[in-house]
This record gives sequence, C-alpha cells and structure tokens, in this order.
Amino acid sequence: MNELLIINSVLLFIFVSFYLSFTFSQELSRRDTFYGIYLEEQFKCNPVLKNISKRFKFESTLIFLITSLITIVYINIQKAAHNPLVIILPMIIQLISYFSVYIKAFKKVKAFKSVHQAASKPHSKTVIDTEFINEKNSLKKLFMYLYITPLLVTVGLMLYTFYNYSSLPNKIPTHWNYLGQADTWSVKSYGSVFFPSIMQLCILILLAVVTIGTFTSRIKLNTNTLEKSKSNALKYLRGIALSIYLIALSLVVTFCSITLAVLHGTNVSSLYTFTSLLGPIIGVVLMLYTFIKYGDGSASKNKSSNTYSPEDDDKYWLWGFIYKNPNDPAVMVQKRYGLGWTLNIGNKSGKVILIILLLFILGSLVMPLFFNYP
Amino acid sequence: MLIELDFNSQKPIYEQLYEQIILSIAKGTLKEGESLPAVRTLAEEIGINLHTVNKTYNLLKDEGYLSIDRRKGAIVNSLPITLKTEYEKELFAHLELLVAKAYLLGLKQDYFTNICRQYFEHFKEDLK
Repeated sequence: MNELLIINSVLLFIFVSFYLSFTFSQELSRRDTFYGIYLEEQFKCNPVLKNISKRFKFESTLIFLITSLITIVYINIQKAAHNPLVIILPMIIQLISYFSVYIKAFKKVKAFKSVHQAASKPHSKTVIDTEFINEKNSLKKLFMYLYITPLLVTVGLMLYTFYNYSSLPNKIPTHWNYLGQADTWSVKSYGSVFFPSIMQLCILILLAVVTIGTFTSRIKLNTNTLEKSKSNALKYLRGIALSIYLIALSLVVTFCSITLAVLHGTNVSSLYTFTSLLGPIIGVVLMLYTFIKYGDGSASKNKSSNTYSPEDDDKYWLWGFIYKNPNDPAVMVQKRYGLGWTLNIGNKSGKVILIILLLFILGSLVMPLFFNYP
Repeated sequence: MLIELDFNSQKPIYEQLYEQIILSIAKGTLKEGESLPAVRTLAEEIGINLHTVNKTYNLLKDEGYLSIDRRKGAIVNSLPITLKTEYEKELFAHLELLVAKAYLLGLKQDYFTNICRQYFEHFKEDLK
C-alpha cells in the first residue's frame, strides 16, 4: 500500500513537470522566436499567432489529463507498482504526443511566416566585442580550475576503493533508506563496489563539459545598450555555471558518502543525505533565478538583441529545435524553443556529444528493464 | 575592440574582418602588443568557419600587422609596422583607384587631400 502511494506521487510529479515544461516552453524561449520559428516580436500580438498558442496549450493540457488519468487509474486498480513498463510507457506516449502537438504549432507558425515573410528577416549585422570575449574566457578558466578539485577527489576515492577492495566483506550494502541505514545488500563485485564512483566520475565530467560549453556558446549583445547587456550576460553565465557547480559538488558529496559507506560497512551519515537534497535544490533555484532575471527571455525585456548570428536563420533548424550548421564551429547554441542551449549536430564535436548523451539516456531507460535495480 | 560585420554585404566576411582589425589598430582600440582572440574563439563567437578567420589573420600577418606567437596567438606588431615594397605598390594601386573614383565623381582636389589629412591627424591623435 505504501509503495503504491510512493509510485503514485512520483508519477504525478513526473507527469506534472513534463506537462509544465512542455506547455510553457514558449514563455521561456528567446523573444525573437515563436514555436521554433524566427519571428519579430511585433508579430506576437497577431490574433492568428495567439490562436495557435491557445490551441497548443489546450491540446497539451488534454494530453496531460487523459494520459495521467488512465495511468493512475490503471496502476491503482491493477496494483501494478512493480512493473517498470507502467512508468516508462506512459512517459513515452506523453513525449510523442507533446512532440506532435508542438510540430503542429511549429508548422502553423511556419505557414504564417511564409505569408508575412518580408517583415521577419533577421538582422544582418553582427557586433563582436573582444573585451567581452576576454572576460568570458577568464570566467571559463576560473570554472575549469574549480572542477579540478572535485575531479581529483573522485579519482582519489576510486584509487582508495581499489586499494581497499580485497579487504571488503563478501556482502556489501547497495541501498540506504532515508535515515541512512542500509536496507539492501549485494554480493561484492567490481561492478557493485565501483558503480557509485563511476557514476560520480561520468556525471562530473558531463557537468564540467556543459559548463565549459556554456561559456563557449555565443551570447548576443544589444549594441544600443552595450555595457548593460555585457554585464547582464556575464552575470547570466556566472549564475548558470555556479548553479551547475553547486549541483556537481553536492553530487560528489553524496556519491563519496555512498562509496565510503560501502567501504566501511557503515550507515550513510544523515548530514550527507541532507546535502544531497539541499545542494541540488539551491542549485536549481539559483539557475531558475538566473534564467528569469538575466536570461534571453527576460534580460532583453526592453529590447531583444539587434545583431545577427547564424542561428537566427530558419534554414539551419530542423523543426525549430535541432540545429545543424556545418559552417558554424560553435558546439552549443541557444535554443529556439525553451530554456538553455542545444547542440550543433552539423559539427563534429556536437555529433560526438549527441551520441554520448543518447547512449546515456538509452542506458538509463533500458537498465531498469533488465536489472531489478533497488 | 568592437568588430562589426554585415552578412548581407557583397564584401566577403574575411575582408570585412581584415578591414575592421586594421581600423581598430589605427584608432588605437587595438594596441600594439595586444593579442587578438584565438581563431577558434572568434570563429565560434561570430559563427563562421575557422578558415575564414584564419585567412584574415594570415593576410594581416603577411602584410606585417600581426605576428603569430605560439603561446599568445596573434599579436599586434609594434607601430609603425615595417613596410614591405610589394605592399607599398599595392597600397598606391588602391589609392590610385580611390583618386580615380573621386576624380570621376567630380570631387575637388583640395577637398580630397584635406580629408586625407584629417584622417591622418585623427589616427595620429588616437595612437598617442
């Protein structure tokens, strides 16, 4: 009964966050795009576009209500809390339906634009400020140095684990309850002992790469208010990088405490449990604050950028969210739909990162189907 | 230094970049001994091919404005740069074309030379 309650609340949480992030992405997007299409801001008051937006929100709400209701009713009637398919299948169905609703809106906006083409051409001029580039680069270096310590700690811990491996008992704890007491045990193997450290290393490297990519990605400045938009952009980048760093640090603490608990056969200290929750929460709050205060959707509240960069061109975008421009050396560019950045898959490094990410996602989806991981 | 580029212009980007850098050196916003952004950084920032930026830097290096240091990247040479005879010829060929255009447009000789002088004075002031 208790488990059913947990699965219900987890599912509801996932469904609601899916719904919110899909439905309100447009509100968080760059000001000069509309459902993945480059469009000047003045058009957004157009009744045709407003209707497209309304229709989109109506349809995604419908999808959310119907799929969530069916899933939750099914789980509670069948008491199917143990079947991972029951969790994954509705998520996949939701993703596909949200996607098709988005594509519909995207196509409608595209049709609208082809009629009103003339007035929605991107700016043709670009302005590069080398001082700004230098400041960005020194921030990037600072954060690269900041990642050295957690990386060293991780590698050091792996060496320490390796050194102590032979003296470990045959049965090791692999899961702890919310009080930090071990409640599941596994047979000792390199896999079970090193699993947390390897996870820690992978996530740390991924977060470091994302941080550095953030500093490398283009930031468009507004030449009319150059100084202000420069300082805003730097605050934006600093905030994002700092919040990712906070999340990385709390992950390191969490995984380290798990590995240490395995090595010493002790409980996980509740202090660590606390940081493992608090760190990411502070990180996410800081990130959202930064996005809302300094992000492209809002920093440019007065005026969106007035310079050109290749990602303004519709021809490089597939469905308004996949960027492919082999001539652009940038690995990450600002998204058109939603917050954050996306990869340039026309670029070699972009392709490599995409494949790694896809493997990551595939792995985490397939793993629970094959292994009954506690 | 501010670099302005126009993607709709007939002039190729590498040429615009070349001109912008020379003007920045003359105006003093890019000082002698100062290093320019790395080729990759600048290309990423503008969103153009690395070769385009490379072409510009090489052109500027060949004409003596920059030198490429292994550690610091592209650095502005000390001013005035040493003039090579081949570029002197090219410079005057440019000037000839410019004067020809001015002449055909009916500009007065005094007016033209006066403007030339003004530019010289400006750059001299800026470089102080």
